[in-house]
Amino acid sequence: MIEIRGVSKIFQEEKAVDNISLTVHKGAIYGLLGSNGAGKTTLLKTLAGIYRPEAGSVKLAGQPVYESPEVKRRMIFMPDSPYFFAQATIKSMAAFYRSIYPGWSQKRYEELRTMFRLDTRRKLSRFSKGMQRQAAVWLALSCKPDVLIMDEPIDGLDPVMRRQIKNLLFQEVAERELTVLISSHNLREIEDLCDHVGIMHEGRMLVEKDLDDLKADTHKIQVAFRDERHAAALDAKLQILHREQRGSVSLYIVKGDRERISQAFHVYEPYVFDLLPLTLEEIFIYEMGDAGYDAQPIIL
Amino acid sequence: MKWGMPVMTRSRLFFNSSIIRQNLRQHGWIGILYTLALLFILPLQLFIESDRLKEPVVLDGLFNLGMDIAVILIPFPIITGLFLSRYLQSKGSSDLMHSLPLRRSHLLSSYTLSGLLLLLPPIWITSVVTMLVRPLEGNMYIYQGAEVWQWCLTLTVLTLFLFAFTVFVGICVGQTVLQGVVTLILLVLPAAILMFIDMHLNRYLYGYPGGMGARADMTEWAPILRIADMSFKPFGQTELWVYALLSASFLTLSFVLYCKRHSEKAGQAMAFTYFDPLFKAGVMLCSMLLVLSYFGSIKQGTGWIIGSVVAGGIIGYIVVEMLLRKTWHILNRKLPLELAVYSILLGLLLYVPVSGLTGYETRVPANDKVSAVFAGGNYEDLMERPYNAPNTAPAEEADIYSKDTKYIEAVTALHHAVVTAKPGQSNTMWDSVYLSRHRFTLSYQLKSGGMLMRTYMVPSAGFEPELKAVMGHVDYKRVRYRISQMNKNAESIQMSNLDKAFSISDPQEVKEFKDILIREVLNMSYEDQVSDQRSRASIRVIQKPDKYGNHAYFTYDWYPSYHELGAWLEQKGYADKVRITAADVRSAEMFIDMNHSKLPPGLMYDPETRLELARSEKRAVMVTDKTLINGILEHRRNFNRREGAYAVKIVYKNNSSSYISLDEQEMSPALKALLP
Repeated sequence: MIEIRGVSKIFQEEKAVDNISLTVHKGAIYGLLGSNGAGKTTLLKTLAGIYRPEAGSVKLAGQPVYESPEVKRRMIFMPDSPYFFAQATIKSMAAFYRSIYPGWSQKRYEELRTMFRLDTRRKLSRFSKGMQRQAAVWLALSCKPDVLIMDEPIDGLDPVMRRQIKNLLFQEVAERELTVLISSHNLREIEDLCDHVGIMHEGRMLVEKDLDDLKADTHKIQVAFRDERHAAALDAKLQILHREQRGSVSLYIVKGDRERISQAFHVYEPYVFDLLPLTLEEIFIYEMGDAGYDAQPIIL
Repeated sequence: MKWGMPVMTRSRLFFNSSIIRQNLRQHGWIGILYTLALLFILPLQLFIESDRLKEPVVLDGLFNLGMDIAVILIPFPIITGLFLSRYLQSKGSSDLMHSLPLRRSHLLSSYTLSGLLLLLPPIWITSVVTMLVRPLEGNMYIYQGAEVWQWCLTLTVLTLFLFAFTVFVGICVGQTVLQGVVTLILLVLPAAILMFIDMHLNRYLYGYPGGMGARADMTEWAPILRIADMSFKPFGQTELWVYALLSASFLTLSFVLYCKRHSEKAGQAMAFTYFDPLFKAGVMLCSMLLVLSYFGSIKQGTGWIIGSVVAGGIIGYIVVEMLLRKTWHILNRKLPLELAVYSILLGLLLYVPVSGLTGYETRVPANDKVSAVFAGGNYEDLMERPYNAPNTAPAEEADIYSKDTKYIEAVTALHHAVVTAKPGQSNTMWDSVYLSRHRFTLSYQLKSGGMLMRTYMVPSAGFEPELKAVMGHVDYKRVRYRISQMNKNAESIQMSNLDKAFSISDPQEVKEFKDILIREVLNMSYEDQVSDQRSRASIRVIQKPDKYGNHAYFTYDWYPSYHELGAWLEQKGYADKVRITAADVRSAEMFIDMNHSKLPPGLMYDPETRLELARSEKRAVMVTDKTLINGILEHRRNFNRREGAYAVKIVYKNNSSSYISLDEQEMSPALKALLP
């Protein structure tokens, strides 16, 4: 669906985005992670056709995005702080979007009204930040885009609304294969939402993964061996990302097939053997440690 | 589906109606205010004046009615341009607008059209209203549809121009405040640069006709100044065409540049880095010229000149760097080199034209290359409106240029003499009056089709033969005294002296008088023209009324050397009507004007101080004898401030007073005997 190839974007002689390529498939929810200033917003704005990249190409369904109304009609960009016209109400903004986006669905707009419960005649400038964000989501979804680009969308929303918006996105993805790109500096906030995650740092993409693969592929194991030499023997058989010793119990982070790992350990008949799922955060910390980065300052 | 269809049709148009609708909703107040302001300034004024006026007044233009229209015409289009360009300059709206499925050309055309919809209907509404109220009772002005049409057209074009220019600047810069400031500066800048260059060349380029056209044309290069002038100088058709074409080019340029503009420039000073060098050089040049013109006017010497150019350059560079980088921390390793390059290039730009390398100062056209020539001190007066005849039209070229070969030779000879000797330039009035210098503009029409013009202050001393040949020539005098124009439409003559006056309106007498006056003027020798002979009375040749009923006039003097005129006036009995005699004089105090070195420097030229000095040194005496006073009046000359000259302070019975000088040869022994 979305194809970004070798994109670079330079701001005053500084590369904000440096030769990034990524692909997002239709119906995927892609999480873009990174600390402040990593280049997430720049990449998203380039994707949305706001910025013209200095190098590389940005395509949606094979069509370049920049200066192409036919393509941009299918996507909506939601900035980190929602912008509305001065004096505008939800009603007037809806009228504006309706006249700009041919895909606008009045039916969807009315459906969502019951969920958001916002006063459509009140000036948006008088809304709180969270309410403005809800309004932005409401308007964006009413346009029925094929691609939704959200820059830090979860900030400022209360937990209930957060849940509801996540559910809405799941629903849109499930029902009509909406493609979503979400950026965040907080992994925990979007880990239950995304199926793909990319981590950016200083304009470059460090890691890009399919989460389901990752979760199926990486395991945390707590084990107490009968003999210390067993541990050394295991090293050769498994792809061990990390190991630490806590008294007689060893903690392993191991890549590979669950069954095969389980068998490998059971050969030695340990006293204790636990195979646990990893949190997304743990996966990245180990992955990036593997790639030579200290993950702590990059993902929170 | 209901919503899909209109979008499809709209997108084929060159603008987007939802954006226009949004703009009108957001900024409609501008249009309303503009309408009200225009209604106030035109149709309402037609009625406000009615209390004061008793008779209906015929108007030939609607621009000079009560308030100055520039006050409204300038700010509204610029403010509209600023508001509508906000979508480019503010980050939030720039992101939103550029993420919409609209091409940039669509966006800009929609915003431009929104601006025009806010600005132009108010003008048209006002025009229609002005037309409609024409026959109404309280309207004390008479005007035609053509005048309303002219008003409407002028305002439409100028509004379009100011708006288009503001939008253009908005594309080039990234901040609304800067956009406003730059717009205003650029709309004045051409005049300021021309003025600075004119001042610069005038000061350092020998013979440069300084101020030539400065007063007249300068403002025409600065749209804001030109518009401010429009109430008394309406725009002509050509000018409106120029402004219309400029508007079209600025709009076209805006579209071209906008397509190249990066949307992330919102909030930056300059949106295009390739304008930076131009911007830097422009600011530095202005700063250099400004500092140079300040110090150049109070300090002489090469050191000061170079110093002020360097200082101006540095100041300009610092200012522009801070603006561009949005910080005052501008020091880096590149800076000195860049500053030096800019300074040297700009310094050369200032120096080369005045260096003499161009041959400007020594160039004198060969006689056979010249087709016609003008020489005289009143070129500006002739080409604009003569200051003593404010209502006459400017002279025609044929009236002031001479094709006479003898005259051409005389002028080039004077020109050669001046550029060889290079007498010092000092343009003050004092010098021309007291040091006997003549301001000369020499203007040649060349056979090649070109023009060559120089201005010099030529002292009498050392240049007599050349001056005599030029000033004694009939063509010089014809132009200098505006004979042909005066001759054309003379209607009556007025003569006056102090509070005595009379006029001649009998056509036969007017003709006789005029013919004699022309003969006398054309007969004046060089010596007559530069002598200090004092006018016996002033003459006004009053012209027939122009289409507005105004009488223009030309002023001349009745000099003692005009013997034929004197005889005619005596014969007709007019001479006594303006002659001042001892009976009109309350007192006459004669003194020898000397010991000037004792005068306090600030009061060197003050005659009263000189008289007081003479009194304290017992060099002053009251003349009471009527015959002697009549003798003084007969031979009086202009107060000449020469050391050791005889001078008289005359107080008339109407309490006015004047200082005069007397020529020693013309003084009677009895008069001389009075002084110690």
